[in-house]
Amino acid sequence: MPPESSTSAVISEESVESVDIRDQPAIWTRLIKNPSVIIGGLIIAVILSMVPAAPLLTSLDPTDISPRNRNKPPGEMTVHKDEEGNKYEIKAVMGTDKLGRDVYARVIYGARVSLLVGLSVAIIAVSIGLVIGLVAGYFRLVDAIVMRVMDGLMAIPAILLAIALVSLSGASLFTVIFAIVIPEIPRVVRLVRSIVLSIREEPYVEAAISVGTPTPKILIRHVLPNTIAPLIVQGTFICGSAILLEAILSFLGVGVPPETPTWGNIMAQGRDLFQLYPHNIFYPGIFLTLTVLAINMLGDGLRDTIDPRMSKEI
Amino acid sequence: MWSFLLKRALSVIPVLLVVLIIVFLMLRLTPGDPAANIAGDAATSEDIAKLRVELGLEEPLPVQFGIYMSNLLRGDFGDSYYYKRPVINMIADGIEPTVSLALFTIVIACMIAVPLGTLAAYKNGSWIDRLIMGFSVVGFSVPVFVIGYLLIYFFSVKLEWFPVQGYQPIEDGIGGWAYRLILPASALSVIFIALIARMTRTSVLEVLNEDYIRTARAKGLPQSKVLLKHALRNAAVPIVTIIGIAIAILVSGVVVTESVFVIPGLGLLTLDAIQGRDYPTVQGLIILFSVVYVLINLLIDVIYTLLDPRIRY
Amino acid sequence: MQNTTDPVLSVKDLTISLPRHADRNNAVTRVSFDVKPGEVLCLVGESGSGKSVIAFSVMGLLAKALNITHGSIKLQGEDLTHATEQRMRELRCTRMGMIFQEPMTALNPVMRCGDQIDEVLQEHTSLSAGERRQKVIDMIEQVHLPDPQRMYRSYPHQLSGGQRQRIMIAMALILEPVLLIADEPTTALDVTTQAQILHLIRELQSERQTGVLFITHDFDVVAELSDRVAVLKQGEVVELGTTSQVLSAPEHPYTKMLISSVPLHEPPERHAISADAPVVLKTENLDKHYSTFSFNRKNVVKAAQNVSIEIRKGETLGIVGESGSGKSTVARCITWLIESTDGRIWLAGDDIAKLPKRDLRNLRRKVQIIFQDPYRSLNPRRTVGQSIIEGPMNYGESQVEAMAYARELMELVHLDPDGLDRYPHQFSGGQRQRVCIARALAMRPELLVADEAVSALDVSVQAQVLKLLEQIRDQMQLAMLFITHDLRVAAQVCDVVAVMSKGKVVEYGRAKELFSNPQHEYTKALFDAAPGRHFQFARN
Repeated sequence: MPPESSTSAVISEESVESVDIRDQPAIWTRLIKNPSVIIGGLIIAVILSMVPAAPLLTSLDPTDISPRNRNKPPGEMTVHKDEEGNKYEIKAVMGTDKLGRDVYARVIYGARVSLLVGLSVAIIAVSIGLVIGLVAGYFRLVDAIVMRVMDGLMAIPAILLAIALVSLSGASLFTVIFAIVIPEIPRVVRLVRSIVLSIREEPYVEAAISVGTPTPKILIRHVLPNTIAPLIVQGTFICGSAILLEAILSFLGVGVPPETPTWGNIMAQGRDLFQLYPHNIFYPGIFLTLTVLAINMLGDGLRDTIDPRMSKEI
Repeated sequence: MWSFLLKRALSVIPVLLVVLIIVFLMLRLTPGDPAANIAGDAATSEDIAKLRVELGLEEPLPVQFGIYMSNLLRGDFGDSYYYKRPVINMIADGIEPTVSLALFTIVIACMIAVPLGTLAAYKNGSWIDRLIMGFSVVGFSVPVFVIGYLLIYFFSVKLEWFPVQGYQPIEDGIGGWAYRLILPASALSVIFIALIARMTRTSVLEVLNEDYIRTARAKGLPQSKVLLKHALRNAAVPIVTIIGIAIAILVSGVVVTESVFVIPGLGLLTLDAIQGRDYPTVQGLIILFSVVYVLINLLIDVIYTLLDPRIRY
Repeated sequence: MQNTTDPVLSVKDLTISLPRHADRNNAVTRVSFDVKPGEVLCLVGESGSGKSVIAFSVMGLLAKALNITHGSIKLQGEDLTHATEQRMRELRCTRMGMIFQEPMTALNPVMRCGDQIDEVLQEHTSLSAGERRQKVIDMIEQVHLPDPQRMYRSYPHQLSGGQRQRIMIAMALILEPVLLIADEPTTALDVTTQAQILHLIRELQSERQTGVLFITHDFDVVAELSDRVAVLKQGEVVELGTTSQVLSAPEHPYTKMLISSVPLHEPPERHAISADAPVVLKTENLDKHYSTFSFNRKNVVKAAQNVSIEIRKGETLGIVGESGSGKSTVARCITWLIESTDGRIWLAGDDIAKLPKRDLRNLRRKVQIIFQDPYRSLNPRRTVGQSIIEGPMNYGESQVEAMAYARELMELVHLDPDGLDRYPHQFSGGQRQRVCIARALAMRPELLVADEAVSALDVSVQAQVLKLLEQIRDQMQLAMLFITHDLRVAAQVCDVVAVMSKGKVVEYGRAKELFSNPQHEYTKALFDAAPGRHFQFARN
């Protein structure tokens, strides 16, 4: 409660709807003081650094099949050949899979696919959703049609939509991204649309109308900036759920081609021998969980600091 | 009241129509020849041409759509390519395990999550709140198959308390049915506990800031009554909403969980159908799941009117 | 046994600290006052004066961030500052009851009204269900609600604001507490409803000899209701005395300033607008209907019907009415924020309905509007300067030109022109409203519409903004349409007044005549209901 319970005639500062993005310093200090942002951000930084550093972290090729190294439990030595054909031994910290591929190398390289899918899905879904949402929120006729389509898309379970899309158009990284983007779009559209609908009622938008500002300018100047903070937050969560969904698709055998090292693929190939060699599932599982957890923590922290309004939603 | 119900029920029609159109277009418009995809890599071009005719792909789009709709309206989902049985019969066989798993999960989740969320809101800012919310973020991030395998590894492989996988129909004994559902339902419920607990906390917190809570306290009511009688009742609408949204997530969870625990339900059927390129079955399942989603959300809107006397559309 | 003249509430040296980083250390500093049985004490102050904090501290409902650091609160001699939570609960509603500002949100929306009153009895008495029900019904009758049985069964949303406030009063007084705390209970209500509620509070408290601590920002309400008054400024009592003493002969300069800011009820003598001054705006039978489609029928809400008004250059027309009277609808039709259903609008001689869209755009700049809420009328992400020059640049002015004029306008509205580079949150409410005026003027309008433009401001700020608006109107020879619910404000600034009720103009005439001799029943009722109109406020 503010020191004075606000009276209806006297509007308190709290009725100011959105956080002032221009208050940059305040936001940055709040961000770096938020434990979720720090912890989430650090974990993400570490996993992100695995993308360029993968060749430094392991000398092994994640796709190298070797019958002699099959199904080694974590910690056992594996035998490899270097370019001149000389044999050397390396300890398989995370063991090997049923084709003798090194799980550690596959996990390290697997981060690439996961992060690529997560980031591109977030960026594409947010961009498309933003445009559709802005237009739908401002033009009633478009709105009626678009929202029916969005309702329909929302009704189809995301995973079924994705599975069906991938299986129909053939497994490739591109189709996986496409298949995950489609079911995410309606959620972005709904968010943007609800912001547009509430902002267009704001007196400052009405003031802009009465000083003759044309509609496209109103959208860009007065409405769009209000969507940025919520979209950053939403984009973060989409990134997390896209990584999860990509792993699920791979795990179910309908994702990126099985020879590509992805966390989901490693787990999928470890399924049948799981009771004997659980490491095939647990190591990538740990990385997958940590990554998604870090992204969700970052999202939570961002939401609490840059977009307090959204804390009401999930 | 009745006019509202009727109106709400009718509003389902356009959504379902859109779903049917999307499913229809998906088969026809995805890049590449669906017939070739369905026929598989070993198929000859004659096979594919034959399949195209069989699928009705040689007809113009509107005609195809007419045939598709009239079949659906007659309840004809076509025959499975793979099993050569009507899709509708195969779905009927898979319903029991899936519904059992879903209901079991939702019941467990609500029983645990609502009290947890309320507690967290009540102890807002305390270590117990942070603990519950911390669990919530983790629960939201761990993939269901990782939890599933963890549970199998510890409780089935190591401790041998539960069978590793499988399902027992309810008619073979309710005890065995429940016993075999405990692990899969626990694995699946984690994400819902996280989701519902979080929503409960937020909405209870929000309600606790309302003026009528202050009024209730000004009446001299003890905290417990304020919380249970005034706060939770008002927080119910968003909690019920989130359960409706959760149904969509539940479907994907069911597919994965059934696959991990080898439960012969609709999820496993979906995967089989996808891997066998059994398009009529896939189509039937997508439509079924979407209809269920739409109907459950319809049901939830009806529940709103019972929970909140202000809602009269 | 207590002596009957012993105070029911005695507050001594009360100091309540604010959390760190607040704009001052204490919400309330060393405040002392007594409330005697059967007495109404008003705590009056502007927003941020700490008046509500005092009310909540008595009830033990302070927010966790606020702490009583010093002083005592005694209810019939019992110290509340050190009472246990258990004891406070027992006292609430039995010995002290409270009613709140927002009747719309103060009742639980999913519980029947009767059950909500009944809860008090369940908690504090051991009466049987039947006895409780009878007592609740009796109480509902005592607050003069019609059909108590039906009221008992009603949900809050089925009642009007005034009815809900009666339910709140019934709830607070059913156990006959010795003290009633009322926190701005009529601020959210229309003037006629406000009069009824004030009357009800007076009636019940004098019957029962209840002591009342009444929080308000409105000196009219003080004049109407209170026996004694304490004036708060920034958490300190600057003046305490009987009502007539404080209002007619205030001693502290702050009190003097506040009281002289209260607009007079009688319109001042105004120079007449010459009859040949050009008509800037004229509407003829303006209608605005809203249709909602229910399942089988169409519901039409007539927000404005047959509104015909006329404003000349240099003249102010006031539209006065309660909420839902359609006054804002008219303002929005005239500024083309919404489209009127029927009727004609002439602006500077052009019939708007007949103009093509392109010419409409040029006409639009001739009408500018100022809104009620100064905190939401400016885009928080754009500097004040950007907001002001947005309009002129839409019509082809260069940024340099527009900026130069904006600097002039800032001086005109008594703001520092260097403030153009700042953001709205760096300005106070009154300053933002000045910025909004500058933005409107930047368009060089002929008609300025002020839609409750001073209603959200504290009385001292309100007086300044009103003065500014008048000065600008005279200087620029604008026509002004002034929408307000406040009769005093209307009396001060309007040449001509239109009284609206239920979408229709019920009375229309020169302010001087209309205020001294209202004709229509509704206007009379409205004037009668206005609190404090028979009270002579001190003037400087």
